[in-house]
Amino acid sequence: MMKFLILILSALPLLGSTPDYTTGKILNMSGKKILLMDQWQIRMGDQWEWAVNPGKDSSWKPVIFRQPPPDGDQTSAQGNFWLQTTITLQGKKDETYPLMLFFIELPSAFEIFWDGIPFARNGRVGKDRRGETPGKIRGFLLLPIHKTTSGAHRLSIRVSNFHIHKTNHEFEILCGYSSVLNDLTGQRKEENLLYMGLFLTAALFSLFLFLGGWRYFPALFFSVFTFFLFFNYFWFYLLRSNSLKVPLFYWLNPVFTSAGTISFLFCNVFLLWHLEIPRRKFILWILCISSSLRLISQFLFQWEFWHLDLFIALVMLGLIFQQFRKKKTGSATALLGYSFFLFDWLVDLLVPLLPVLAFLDAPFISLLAYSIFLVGLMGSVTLKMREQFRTLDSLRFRSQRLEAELLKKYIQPHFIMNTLQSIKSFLARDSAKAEKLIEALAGEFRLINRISGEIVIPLEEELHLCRFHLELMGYRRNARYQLSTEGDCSKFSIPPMVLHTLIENGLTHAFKPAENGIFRFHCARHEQRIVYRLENDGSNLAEMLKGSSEQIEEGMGMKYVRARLAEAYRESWRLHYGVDRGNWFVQIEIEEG
Amino acid sequence: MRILIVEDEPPIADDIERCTRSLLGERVRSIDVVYTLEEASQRLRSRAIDLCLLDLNLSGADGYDLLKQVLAMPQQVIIVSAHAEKAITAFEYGVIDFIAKPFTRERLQKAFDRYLGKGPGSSHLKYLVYRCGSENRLQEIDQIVFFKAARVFVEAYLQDRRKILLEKHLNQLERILPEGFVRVHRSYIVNLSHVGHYLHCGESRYRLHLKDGTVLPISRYRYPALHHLLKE
Repeated sequence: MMKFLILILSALPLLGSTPDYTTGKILNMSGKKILLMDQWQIRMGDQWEWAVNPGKDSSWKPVIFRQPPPDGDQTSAQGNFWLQTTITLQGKKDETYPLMLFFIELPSAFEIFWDGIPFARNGRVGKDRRGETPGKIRGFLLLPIHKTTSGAHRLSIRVSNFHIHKTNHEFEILCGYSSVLNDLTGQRKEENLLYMGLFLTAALFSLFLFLGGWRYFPALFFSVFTFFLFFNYFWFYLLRSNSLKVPLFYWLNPVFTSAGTISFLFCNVFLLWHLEIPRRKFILWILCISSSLRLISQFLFQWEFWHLDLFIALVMLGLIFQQFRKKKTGSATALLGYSFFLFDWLVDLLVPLLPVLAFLDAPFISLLAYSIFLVGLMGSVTLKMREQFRTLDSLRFRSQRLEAELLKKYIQPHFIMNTLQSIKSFLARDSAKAEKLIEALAGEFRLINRISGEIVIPLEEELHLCRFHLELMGYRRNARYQLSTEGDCSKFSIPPMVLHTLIENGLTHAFKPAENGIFRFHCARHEQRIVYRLENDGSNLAEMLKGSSEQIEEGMGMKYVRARLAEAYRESWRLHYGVDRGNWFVQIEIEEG
Repeated sequence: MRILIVEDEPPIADDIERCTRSLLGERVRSIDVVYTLEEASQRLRSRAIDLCLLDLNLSGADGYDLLKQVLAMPQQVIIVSAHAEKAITAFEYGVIDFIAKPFTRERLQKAFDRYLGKGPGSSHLKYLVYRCGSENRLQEIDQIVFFKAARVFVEAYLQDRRKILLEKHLNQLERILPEGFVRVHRSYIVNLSHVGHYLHCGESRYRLHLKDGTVLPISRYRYPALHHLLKE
């Protein structure tokens, strides 16, 4: 943890070296600033002489960067148009590096003039679609070194756009020293790589967790979410490599920005299921509709509908908070992560509230916020995993303990000592009976030893065990016990010692000593349902029930039966018991599927 | 002797009955055999019994309740059970003896000897069970200062000056009490740790002064033994 902090702190000045921007029309050459050229004039049509002689000012309309023009965005119109502006260079020029322009998203092709002299072009400007060759979507243009002297200069751009239909992209042109501009774009590329690594690692890790056997579906959602995020950042990386051609960009941009929308959708779906947020199916519908709206608006109108996402993010934060108050596993870390996700989004709005943010560099804040976001969500998944493993462990432990407990019941004094005492008392009077008793005891032990480790055994084997037990108990209690069966027992299976335990319970509670008894076992299949029913005609239990309340405290035996059924059939079984027509019954129903 | 055997397995009940008859012979006035605990408590309420041979499964909560119920009654109890691991608990509650199954004739003989006062007493007793209304309560014996015979039953005087009634005979009690309790008089058993001093009051009459100020009589023929004990 300390190392991590030190790493981040030492990276702080590095990330803080973003150059300063200025806007307007003046660039001081003695500084290291970047001029964001935001004030332009536009004139529709195409006349060569406009480069040298722009004509009357009134025929040019002002275009201000990042402000929607009153009569539609003509920079994204189809056809030919010219842009022009003046730039005033001041101060002493740094002779080490040349001055450069950096353009972003000015479709589709253009030629650029410095004081009326052409010095660079992007693609080939044409009069129609066939004549036009689209250029790159971003790039650097070297300003003519000897002409970049102090004073005012005119910059004109001859643009043709026949390849791109309606777009909503504002172009950007930056001016500055090549060293500074290169640094800027290079740094952004490195940041992108960092993000890509972060997201891809998270995606693959959770995917492998899922494939590796932890069948936790939210982990898969998490993987999809981070993978799309990776995809989204991969696109930014491609953009910043400055090699994308204009048409390809406009083709791919909606696809890749959709990745952002899809990742946001999956992030929320992951949280819905991971934190078991109530009414999640309903919320999922809303999320799907909003995401579709965003996707459609992106493809059809190139219009980013991000307010909707912000609204949904706020609602999700509220829902997570609700789960946090209910103390759901992992909700605290998820809340922390999601808050930072929103923080990154709203950081510009928060600066007036938290002035300290102004001192931190924006990319640094983003990186920190995204890291905490991801770490928060992954931490939440880990907590869930720990909880599940613990539950699994305790289940396994309980089952083992029950098995041990059960074996103890037979190998320990109580059962065997009583049986030995009976054998002893028979030896003197009726040695043949003593012998039979020993045989039944041996038979029962042999079977228990063989089956108790299994999860299910053939029903017939279980019934065989029950008959041994009934024979043995018959000798001991001076009574005759019978077990009759109905239905084709050869087709079914059952967890070991379940019927045996039920019969043992019946013998203890339902019958008085020396009272003969009959157990009836019935098995049947009704479509997908298997029904086992065990009845006995003991006189004691019905009487006991009449006197006391209907509630019977479940003893160790019933707990064992339930644990065995849960182990074998998970949740698709039911057990109930009671008195029916004077007979005590226990019924087990198992859903197949 | 009127004996009650409580055992849910008839062959074993038979065995116990035969052994008891041959061991105690003439002493046996009656032997009743019942198979369930309900029958047992009915029988104990309806007729006087001296000794109860009880097969008790003490692993459940009901086991203790029944044990307490039986021990609160006047008769003495010997447990005959396969749950040998519960023997200490049974002794703590005041049974005379605990016989583990499968038992031998000799072991049964030893238990009867103990009942008849021939064998050594048990030193495990920790509680006495007494009836309070319909409830059976436990009293730690450490807090009892002395016992006093009250007609057929016994009164126990406690440290906090309360008094409880035990449905036991003083002679029966003497057999199960641990070492620190001494019979000082026909009607008194005293807890030695509460004795202050004793005084000779002339004409071979002795009085025992307890720490809380109570004065108890000492019988003449028990005095030498007591004198010896207190000197130690």
